[in-house]
Amino acid sequence: MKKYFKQFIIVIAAGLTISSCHKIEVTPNSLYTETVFPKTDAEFQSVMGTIYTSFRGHYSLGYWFAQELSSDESILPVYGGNWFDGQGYIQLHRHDWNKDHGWITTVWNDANSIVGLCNQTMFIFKSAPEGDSKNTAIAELKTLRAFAYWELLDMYGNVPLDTLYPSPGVQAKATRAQVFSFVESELKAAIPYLKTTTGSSTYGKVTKWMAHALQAKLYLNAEVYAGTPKYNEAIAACDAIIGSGNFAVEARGTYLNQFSPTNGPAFKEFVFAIPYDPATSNGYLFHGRYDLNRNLGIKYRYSGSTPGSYSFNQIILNQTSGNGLINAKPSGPRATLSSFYNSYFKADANDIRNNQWLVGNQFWSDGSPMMVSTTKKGYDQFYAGADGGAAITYQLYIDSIITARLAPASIDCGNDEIAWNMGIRNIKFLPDANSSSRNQSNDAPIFRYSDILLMKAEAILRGGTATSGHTALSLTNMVRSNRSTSPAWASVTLDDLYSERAREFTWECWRRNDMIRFGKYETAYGFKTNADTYRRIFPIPTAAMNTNPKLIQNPGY
Amino acid sequence: MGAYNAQRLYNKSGTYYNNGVFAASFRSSQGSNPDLQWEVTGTKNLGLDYGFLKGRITGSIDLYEKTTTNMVFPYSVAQSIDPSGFLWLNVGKIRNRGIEFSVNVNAVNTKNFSWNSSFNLASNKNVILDLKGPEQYGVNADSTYYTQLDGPGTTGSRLQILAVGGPLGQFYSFQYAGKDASGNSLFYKKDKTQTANPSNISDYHALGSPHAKLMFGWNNNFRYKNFDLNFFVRGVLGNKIFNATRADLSYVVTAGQTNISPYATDDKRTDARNNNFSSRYIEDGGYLRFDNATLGYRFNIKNEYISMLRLYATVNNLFVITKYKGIDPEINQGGASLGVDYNSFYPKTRTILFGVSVGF
Repeated sequence: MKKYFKQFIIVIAAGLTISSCHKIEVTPNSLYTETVFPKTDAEFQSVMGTIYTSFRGHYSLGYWFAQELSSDESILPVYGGNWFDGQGYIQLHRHDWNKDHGWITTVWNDANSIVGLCNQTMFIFKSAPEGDSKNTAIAELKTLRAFAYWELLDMYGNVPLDTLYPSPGVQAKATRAQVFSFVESELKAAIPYLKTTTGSSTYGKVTKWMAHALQAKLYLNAEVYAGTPKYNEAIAACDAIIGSGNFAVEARGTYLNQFSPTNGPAFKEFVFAIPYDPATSNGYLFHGRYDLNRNLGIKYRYSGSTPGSYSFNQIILNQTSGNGLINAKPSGPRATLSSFYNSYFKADANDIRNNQWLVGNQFWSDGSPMMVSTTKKGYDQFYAGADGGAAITYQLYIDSIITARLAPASIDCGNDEIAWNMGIRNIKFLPDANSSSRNQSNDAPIFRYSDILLMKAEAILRGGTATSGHTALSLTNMVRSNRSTSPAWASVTLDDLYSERAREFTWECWRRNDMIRFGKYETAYGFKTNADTYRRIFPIPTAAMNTNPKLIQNPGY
Repeated sequence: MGAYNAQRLYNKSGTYYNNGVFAASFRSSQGSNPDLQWEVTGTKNLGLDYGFLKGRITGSIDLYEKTTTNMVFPYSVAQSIDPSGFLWLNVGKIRNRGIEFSVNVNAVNTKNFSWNSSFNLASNKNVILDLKGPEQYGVNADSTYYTQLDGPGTTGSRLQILAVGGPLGQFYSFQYAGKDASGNSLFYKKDKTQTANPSNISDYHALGSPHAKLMFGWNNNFRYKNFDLNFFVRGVLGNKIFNATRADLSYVVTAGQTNISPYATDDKRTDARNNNFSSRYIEDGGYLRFDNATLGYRFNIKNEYISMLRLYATVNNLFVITKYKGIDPEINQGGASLGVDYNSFYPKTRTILFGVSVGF
């Protein structure tokens, strides 16, 4: 009996061994390789989601610098060598960047990476089940790729058209006009399949309206991009959005709210925005970090700053101890030029958009003056007296004039209180008081309804045919009546529109695009004297030339 | 080569807004290259072993040339090839050529005293011969800038370059040109004119190699009656170290708020570019290290309980002779970005050990 029992055990053991052998046929994978991912619908969505993740990392940082610092709207000077960064920021201001420029390389990589991701995701979606949702997904991907190509077309002009994955190999450059036609035809092909719903379910994603807005931008700039005006096409694209009735101009009282940390799908002016959220995602929307004055951390609760048990009128900044005062200093290098501010924000005291700026004496929210304590030498590094270490206290004053006191050749203002308090600050994207990091919750709009109206007005002024009873003037006043309590304009010129766009879209990445379209990109402003017209497009970065020997450098570089 | 280097990998890439919530997104974090192969290394070796004076002097001389082709490395590719921007590829050719020499001398060997000494020398020259990749990928890694460090006012700078004709880890940065009349740091532009405001990458120069020209080691064993002494000295000559730590600690503009490297005390406070990574911070990395020594005494005890009793003292890392200004010239070496000191390693400790060894 014992013997039989033993044999029985052996048989069972053998059986177990055999069955476990079978199971090992599944390839063990500790990583997400392409044999196991993506398979489910949710997984497909998460792969497409990464393209939106990429936009978030790109739009408010590198793209922002390229679009805004190269314009008359924003400047990032040097502070005692701080922010010199191998001339990275001042070259954008002076228009003397070269093909090795860091941010120009970053932006190229970002936009091309989005193109590559779209191509790859279309390839991955080939294995998704056929049907409406697949058609919509492919159309969405085409629109995202068209957006990235529009960025490349706008910034670099002549770029290779890579549309296939796996890639047959690196491609030679297409002409700017060819890239224009590609974006145009891709949008036309995609639009019939795109979602038309607005609100939370499609917020931050491609909709039919987003595609039309991109069309309007493309056509409005067609003369710049392809040498042929397409103003009627621009008007048609705007009309599709206006006619949908989905959007409205935000009222004067809530204009600034749409850029605040609590903005989101409820704002009817957003046609397409990039959602940011510091709690669940980081994404380089760092406006508080870049735009606040260094002494304003506590007032705006930057990155967890708190006044502790102080009441505001007791706080003297720069204190290093006492009562739990936590002053997370913003880096605070970025400002606007007084010429920009004076040109567009001085004339109409009733314009709500004036409130996005910080200039002059600064006060706490209770009206008490904001006092800063430092030393005489800390206030002014050029102070020559023997008592440079003596303490002084002064009221924070934001000086509209930026002076390169330390070194004019590098726009170096110095590294003292005087220097860091130079330059008018922008708080349109209000710093997020609830974030304990640099990340903010403010969503960044790319296309707003007011832009659609002003684009249509401009297209009419530039020779397009007016439709739907709109005139350039009526469209402009539709925006202006929600911004200022001053009387409506009686007439509008292209120059007026240029100024209105400066007021309306400050800090929203449109200034370079507008300046080029209005032929003003070569004007002198701030510390810039360079008027090279070839700089309307950026150079192909050296890093890109290294990975694609078929690329040819843009003229002039 | 890792198990998954040839395969496409997906990874969490953050989140995206999906109908009111931020959902996890996934992206391809690495492209697939089914053609990826092992690196191929060909070695030529010529060796000579010698012995004189009835084996009292022995040693060897080796000449070698090691050529590695199809080097496996995550190379940058156009985003159209792979949106991650890199692929593991077999690219390029690198050559190591060198000579190794060793000698061992049995100098004295008598009843009461013996001395044995061995010495070795090694010299190696590393050069990148080719960095072209597969045609369809368009890869030409020549002039790949890497080792990005970010200090105050130096964001985006790179310290090294992969370039044909240079060694792995070739330093490539600003070239320091002294100070101007008002004490501001000057640098050479690409065209050799001087500027206080150099541009990243465009104004970089080749500034030396992290590889030692010569490595040596000297080991000695002495025995005198019951005492024994062993010590080992070693060192390298002819290598450069990028002392990025010192650059970082030299930012003189913040003197008064933070501590500054003593090497920066002669810099003016208005010299806003004094911390920029440049040849000023590339130093001679040669050193001689007294690596270890052991002194022992053996007692003449032999009984039924104890067969051997020895007392000894060992010291490791007694001293280093070097011109290097950083904390230790023996910095982490390895990978492609070698020879850069950036607060990135623990210095060697000095240990003194006393011991008793007993045999039963």
